[in-house]
Amino acid sequence: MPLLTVPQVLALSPDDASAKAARGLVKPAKWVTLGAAETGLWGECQGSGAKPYQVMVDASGFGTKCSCPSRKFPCKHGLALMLMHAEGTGSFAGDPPVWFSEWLSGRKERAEKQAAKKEAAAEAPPPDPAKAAKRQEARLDRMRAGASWLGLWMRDLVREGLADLPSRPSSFWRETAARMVDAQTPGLGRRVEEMESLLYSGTDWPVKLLAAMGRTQLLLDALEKFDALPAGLQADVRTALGWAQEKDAALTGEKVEDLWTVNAVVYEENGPLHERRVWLSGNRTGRAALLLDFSHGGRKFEMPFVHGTQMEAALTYFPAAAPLRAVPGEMKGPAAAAAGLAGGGSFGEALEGISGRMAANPWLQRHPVALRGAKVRREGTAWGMQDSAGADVPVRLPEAGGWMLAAVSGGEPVDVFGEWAGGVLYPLTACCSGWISLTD
Amino acid sequence: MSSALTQLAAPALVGLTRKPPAWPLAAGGIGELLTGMESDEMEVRFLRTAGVLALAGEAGLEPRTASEALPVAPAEEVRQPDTPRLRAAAAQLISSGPAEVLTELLELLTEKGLTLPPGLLPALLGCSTNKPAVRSAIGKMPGKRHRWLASLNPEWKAILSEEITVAEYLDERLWTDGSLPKRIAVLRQVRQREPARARELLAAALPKEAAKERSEMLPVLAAGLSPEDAVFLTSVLADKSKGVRQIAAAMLSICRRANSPGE
Repeated sequence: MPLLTVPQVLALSPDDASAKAARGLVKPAKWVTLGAAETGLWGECQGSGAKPYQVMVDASGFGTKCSCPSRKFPCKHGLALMLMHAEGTGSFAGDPPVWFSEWLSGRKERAEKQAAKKEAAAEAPPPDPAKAAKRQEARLDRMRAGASWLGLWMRDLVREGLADLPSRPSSFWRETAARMVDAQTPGLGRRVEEMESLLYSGTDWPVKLLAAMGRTQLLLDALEKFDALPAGLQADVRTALGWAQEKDAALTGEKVEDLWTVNAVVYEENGPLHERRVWLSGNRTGRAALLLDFSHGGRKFEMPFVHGTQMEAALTYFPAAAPLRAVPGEMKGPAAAAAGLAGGGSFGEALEGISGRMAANPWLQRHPVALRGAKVRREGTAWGMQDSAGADVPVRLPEAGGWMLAAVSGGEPVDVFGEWAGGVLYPLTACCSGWISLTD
Repeated sequence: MSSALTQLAAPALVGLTRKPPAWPLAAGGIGELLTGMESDEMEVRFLRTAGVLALAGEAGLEPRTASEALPVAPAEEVRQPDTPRLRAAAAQLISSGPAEVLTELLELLTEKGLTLPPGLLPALLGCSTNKPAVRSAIGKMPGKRHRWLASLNPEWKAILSEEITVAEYLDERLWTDGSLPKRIAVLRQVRQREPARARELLAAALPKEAAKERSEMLPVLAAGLSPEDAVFLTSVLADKSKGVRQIAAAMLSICRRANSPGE
């Protein structure tokens, strides 16, 4: 079992309550047995009932199982077991019990079966190409109708002027956004919501709003020419419009085997919908990858990922003009601690990568950026950053994250990973004699 | 944002019917792109132009040279306890108390000459602003990183208020060119953290000072007197000023007593 650090274990927690409850269980007295091996951790935790809960952690990918009735994943017992191991609390035996070994081998079997099924599905011909094409055409028609309405709406706005928009009620924007969702183009709906939020972005809001509208116009233009676009760009336009790609779509994409380092994991909540973005970087190929997952009503994701770990695995990229989003295939070995960020360089190099990707897919909204040897600085009451070549990096670093970065780096160069969106870098993790999360 | 885009914002604000746009003259690839995107409808052409300029502006972003980074923290010579368990316990005490136990932990670490790992310092300094006991315990903690960090944050500077700020502590000029009280304060700081260095500074400076300065600076060594100071103090017994000689003799006797506790 690679040693996850305490912050890494806490990053796996589905919510604050679980982390807090787990803390209360980090006491050897609560545990009847404790064990650790290369393959994982196990333990029996005394709950309120007579029979202690059996808690298991798989070292390859940190999957957990517990016999408790909790629906949280991982539950407080699983978290507590990993915390005890990370802190060195309690004494761990080395001989795995049968219930642990059986769970592990069952897990492995299921994973293999699933991989075989995926492969078979990839080779099998699509169920009925004619029917699928007809369905796609029907949806495209609905989307085109929605898009042409939005085109008219934007033309009206620039013809009549944007000046009175701040005095319009929020319903003006909400209704337009809802209309886009009805037209099965939720991506356009999100763009309308973003336009409203730009009204409050400072004195240059008209420029920013105009930029957002212009970029949306280019998306509408692309939809109009959809049939003439190459397949990769078609996929990008679909994604930008909010037509979710089925995970099966990735089966036909490019497969890349590498030692993947988890540079950062981001959780975002939008009402009941939880989004998780796992940013990976290949140690040998230098490729970046994004694993994007959604879960309804809580943080429940099939495969756990923690920043600062790495695993040998095959990823399959979704078809795209500049492939970035991928789905993980079979893990080729246990996850291990990663010594540092994978990939990265100066800010200038990062910008070159962003330009290249933007040229291929102008609607991509988030780009991974890894900076080597960056330094923090204070600009008035906000945090700033400069890269190894002394260039200014526009960042939005939260107060706490900035102090953490300053404390750990002592003003010396550190490696920083973040998401580039809308011309600003949002730093997520940093590496400087250990990994730190900048968003806690 | 590109200036060409900014110029389009004015007609967009008042409306194209009132103020028709002046189309930007872009050369090269962008110009070609814009020509290819013309439309019969002015509004469509306008939105497309804005879109292309916005994209080109972001894709063609050139890094600017940044102003100064943070001053680099002085090298940390003090050890940190590096057991995950202690880190976790300290983090727990910092986030949810009780403050008395946290104070006790800090005092214990200080006694052993240890400081906390840098990752815990922002939270520690943050929680100390309304806890005087914790603040005072931090003030006594050995190490430089927490002082450096506190000197950057106006809310945390209070921790250093009774002391000289880190920058001053590091500023050699304050020692060589400062006023007498400032020089004595610097010497006190140095004596507290690096007793031998304070002695060396004093040994180098004394021969160049007047009697008054010598008699006021020498007593700083009284804090943390040790047998290691004896050789230097013996040399001061030959000082020209009687007052200085007396101070040296008094401290020397304390040194000797410390040296042989049995007598």
